[in-house]
Amino acid sequence: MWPKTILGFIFGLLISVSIALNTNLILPFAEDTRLLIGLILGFPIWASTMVWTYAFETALKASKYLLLVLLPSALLNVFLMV
Amino acid sequence: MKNQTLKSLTNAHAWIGLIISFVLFIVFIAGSISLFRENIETWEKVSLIGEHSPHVSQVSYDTVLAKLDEKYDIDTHHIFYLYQPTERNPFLQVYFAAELDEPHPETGEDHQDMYLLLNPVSGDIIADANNFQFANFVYHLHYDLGIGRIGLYFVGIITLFFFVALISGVVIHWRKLFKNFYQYRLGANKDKWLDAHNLIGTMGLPFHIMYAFTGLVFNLVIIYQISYAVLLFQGDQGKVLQAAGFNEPHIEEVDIRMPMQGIDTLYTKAMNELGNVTLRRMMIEHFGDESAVLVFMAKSNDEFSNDVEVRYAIKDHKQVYITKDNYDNNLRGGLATIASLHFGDFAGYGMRIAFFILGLATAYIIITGNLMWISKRAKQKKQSKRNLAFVTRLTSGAFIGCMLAIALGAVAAKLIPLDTLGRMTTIHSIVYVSFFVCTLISLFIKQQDVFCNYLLKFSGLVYAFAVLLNLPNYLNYGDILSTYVISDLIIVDIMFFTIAALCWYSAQKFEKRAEQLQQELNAMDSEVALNS
Repeated sequence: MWPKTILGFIFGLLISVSIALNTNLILPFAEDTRLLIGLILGFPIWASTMVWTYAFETALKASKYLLLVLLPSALLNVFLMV
Repeated sequence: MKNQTLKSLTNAHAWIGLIISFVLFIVFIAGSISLFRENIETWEKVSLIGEHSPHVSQVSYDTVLAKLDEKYDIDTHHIFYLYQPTERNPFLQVYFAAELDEPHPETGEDHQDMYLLLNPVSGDIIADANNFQFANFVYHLHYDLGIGRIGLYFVGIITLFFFVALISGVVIHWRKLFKNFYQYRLGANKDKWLDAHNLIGTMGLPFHIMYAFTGLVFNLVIIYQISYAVLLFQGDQGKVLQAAGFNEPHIEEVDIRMPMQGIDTLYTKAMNELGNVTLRRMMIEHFGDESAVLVFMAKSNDEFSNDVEVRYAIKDHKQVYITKDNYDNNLRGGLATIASLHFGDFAGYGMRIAFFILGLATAYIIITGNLMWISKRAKQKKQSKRNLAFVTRLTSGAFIGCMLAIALGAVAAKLIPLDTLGRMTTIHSIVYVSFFVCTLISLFIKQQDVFCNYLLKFSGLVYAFAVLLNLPNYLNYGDILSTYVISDLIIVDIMFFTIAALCWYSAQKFEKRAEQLQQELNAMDSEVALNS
């Protein structure tokens, strides 16, 4: 259980930050509204990612799927920020 | 959903629940009690309120501040806080840092934090408010276990796992969510616990989700704050705070002394300017300096969770800032809403009582979760008996220990005179030591049912004793105290009495189980005797 916990915790944080950042960069709202949306989305995404990690049989299997979510989102971050 | 997925999630749900249960139980019990924090504050210092009755309704800020300025070397660099008298607290409360000639013997700092209760007209010091902070201590237990910043983040991480347990619980239970909504089987204990766990968990789900989310925002928002600062604002925290609406104007200190006068005039001016509001606090930035700014922070009475604020330069009474809509920033508006939801302060006592019941119900969910884990593991042949006994004993010791520790803290808060030196340190020690002693003793007790029975009964009696200790206050000051103060006393007494009754009721369940177990053992003994 510990490998899945650590994996879910770290990937959950990275995915939530990445998605919140994308919403911040994409949404056509005022800055304060975008920050609020990011804050509201952040924790539920983090917790949901952890739940998703636990749903897999092994941490290794979970890490493949988590990477499949994180990589495109992170690439979009880079694309939007550069 | 695949069976394997369901199995993985169920295992994770049970495992997370067990790991976080001990801290989460403290968080929920302390949080439920803290819903009535203001009432407990009155309850603790009621003798002081009674002794200084009757109270006047007027306040002379100018007199009070002149007196304080004369008595203390008030640190200009720290903010000076003023809390006006209310119906339940007739004293003027001030919080500031006083400069010291030599470093403080304990902290080593060049200043000392002062928290005083003053006569609102003469400015005479009534008491050191640091001495009666039991309500505040229980509140700290709720959000940082009373151990400061580390505790804050630790509780934040526990809350994150609570959120995970909630979501996984919903996913596991989803197929039976509506079908078994009212199911409560009275058969085996495990069924009863499972049904109670699911029933309360489902019915209280919106409440649980709200608490998990808002709690996370309070304790772990720093993570997103840093992320945003690094990724969006080139590492500049100042810019993040600016975007988040923390951008009230700050005037630079000029280092020219000036008496802090004209506060009474500014108070009237501010109240007229802000309209129908409840003043939360007043603050003075750069106390004693020509650049001093007086801040009035209030909450609108006409709108849900709307923070309003006005700032004046004390030197020339010029208004330097005003907001009538959550600092004109959606993020701050959102944070104010999150705070209101968490504290349940937007709909009177009815809402707080509902939150209190739901808080205790959540504590029950935590207990049933652990009991189910123990019951399930007890049936597994591979399970180490030593580990199982450890978890069982830790569950009893820590859960009941938490109840007893807070009860003993309440009794100490009533028994120790308010002016006793180191009063709060003693109360802190009583709470922490009793909790650890209970947990430790429990680890060595084999007959857990008997232990739980006696410890719960003792806890119940201690809560009832706290109520009893408050009775003389009704007799001594009943006719001179305001209805607000009396209702505060009644609310706290009812709350403690309810907890006492719950402890006693739970103890009886354990007593019954212990008796059953004893009867079974007796029957087995007689059978053995007959056979031999």
